[in-house]
Amino acid sequence: MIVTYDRLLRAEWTKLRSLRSSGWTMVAMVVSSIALGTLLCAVVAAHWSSASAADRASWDPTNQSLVGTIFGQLAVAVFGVLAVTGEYASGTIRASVAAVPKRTPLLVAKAAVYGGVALVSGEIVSLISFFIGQRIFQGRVPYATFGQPGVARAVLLAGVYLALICLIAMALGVVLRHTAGAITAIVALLLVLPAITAALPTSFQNSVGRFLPEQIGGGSMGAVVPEPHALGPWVGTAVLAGYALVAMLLAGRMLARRDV
Amino acid sequence: MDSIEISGLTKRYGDTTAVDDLTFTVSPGRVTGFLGPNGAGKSTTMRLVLGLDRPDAGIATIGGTRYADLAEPMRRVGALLEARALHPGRTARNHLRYLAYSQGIAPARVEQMLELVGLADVADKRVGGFSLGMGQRLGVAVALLGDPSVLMLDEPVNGLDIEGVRWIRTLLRDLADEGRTVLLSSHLLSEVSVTADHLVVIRGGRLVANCSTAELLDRGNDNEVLVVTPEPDRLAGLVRASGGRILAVDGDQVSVGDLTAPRIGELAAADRLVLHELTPQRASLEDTFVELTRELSPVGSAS
Repeated sequence: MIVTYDRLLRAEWTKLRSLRSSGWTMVAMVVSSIALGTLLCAVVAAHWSSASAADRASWDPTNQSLVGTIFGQLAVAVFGVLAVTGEYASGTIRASVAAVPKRTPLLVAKAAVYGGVALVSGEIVSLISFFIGQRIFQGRVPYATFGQPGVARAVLLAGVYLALICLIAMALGVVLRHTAGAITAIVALLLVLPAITAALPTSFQNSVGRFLPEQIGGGSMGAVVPEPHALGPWVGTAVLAGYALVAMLLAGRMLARRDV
Repeated sequence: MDSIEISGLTKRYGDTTAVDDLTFTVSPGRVTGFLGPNGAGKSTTMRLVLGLDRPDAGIATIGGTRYADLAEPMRRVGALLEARALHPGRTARNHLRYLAYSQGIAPARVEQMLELVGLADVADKRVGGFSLGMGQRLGVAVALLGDPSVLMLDEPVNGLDIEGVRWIRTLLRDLADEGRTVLLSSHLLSEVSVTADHLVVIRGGRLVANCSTAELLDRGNDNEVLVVTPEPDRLAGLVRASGGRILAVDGDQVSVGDLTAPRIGELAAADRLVLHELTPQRASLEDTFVELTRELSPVGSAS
């Protein structure tokens, strides 16, 4: 099976590279995440003088510089969804399954390749965002350096967060098999669910909100000092990785059972 | 060389039974036509063989092994399915390349296939802009990519021009002559009767015929003769007296059954009856086929 996997990885890599849409989605993700992060960092720096004492006390310049991943997670989710639903929409899934009739290795190879690209792109985004952000803060507001405790961890885990979101999006794509449906589902998970939670009583927010992917991304993985009530960075990473694993197992089961 | 063995294959979609307890074998070294009206279950049968759909009962194997258990399936079975399986944004070359990589097939083979099917000049064009015929040619390239011993083609001539149709017929003939197993589906008997040595006919997911092409075509020869005469009533009397049947009378045209044209001519001459026309009617291939697929009980022997 080892031999087969390097073939399948190569096949999936060829598929990814041979579609303009996947490349452009990732370029758009990188550029717009960095741009949005830069903009928001500049805004925060400009309003620092009017910031409250509480805001100043909880100031996390690393976390602030990674704020562009809020946009990046959506682009990476679309990338993951399209990797799968694009095959269903075009019928390529039939050619793919005829080539790899066992199906599970197909999903594993696809997850490795697309998740890998999302990871590399995610790390590029978070590293560049971090350094641009700190550059903006320097001399105007308290800023972070890469060597400070917890900073490198937060920056790198922000990239890991994007890769895990990509995997969850791919799994949703396999389960739902339709682009619009899967994108709606992932947007609901990332943006609508946190909004609904925010409208609920504080005790509920504190106990449940921290388990939402978006909270894990911003409050646990991408934070130097975890936000109040948030999971610790490693626990948060483990929980999100657990979600991705469960979603992929479910997707693998459905892919193996269904007619294509 | 491998054969395709289909045994008790059954597939239901909700209340519809698409394939109903189907059993037949497709042997190497000949072209087998897989015939049936649209919706008869041909495509479903092929999808079941490829493991794209799961059967509700029965099994389909390639040389005794289920498709899903083949290590490099495209090296054993090449398939062209009716439904498009190409991403419009990908080029022909890249489509073949990723499939080649997945089977450990050398990229040089991709170039050979592009040449073979006549797509070398448009290999780097995105397939979204391809005509139906070009898409079919690419599908044939995919099927042949792994140099498989078994070929399954679902309505391959769809969208091809006359030159393309001729090309694919010659190609399939050559592949069968090399000893490969070739299964070719169509809803038109005339389309496969030229190429196929053997025919498997299904209707409503069930087998209705499994015999040589010659055998099936012979069934088309019923003894209907069209006679035109100014005295249809006298002719009818002569025919009946000699054991023939009058199938239809329309003005001066009489359709006669159970008597050959020479026999009718002799009867008329002996009785000094004037005939203006005497034409044996050979049922068209399509009539035979339509009639066959209306029959309820299976005919022909399994081979």
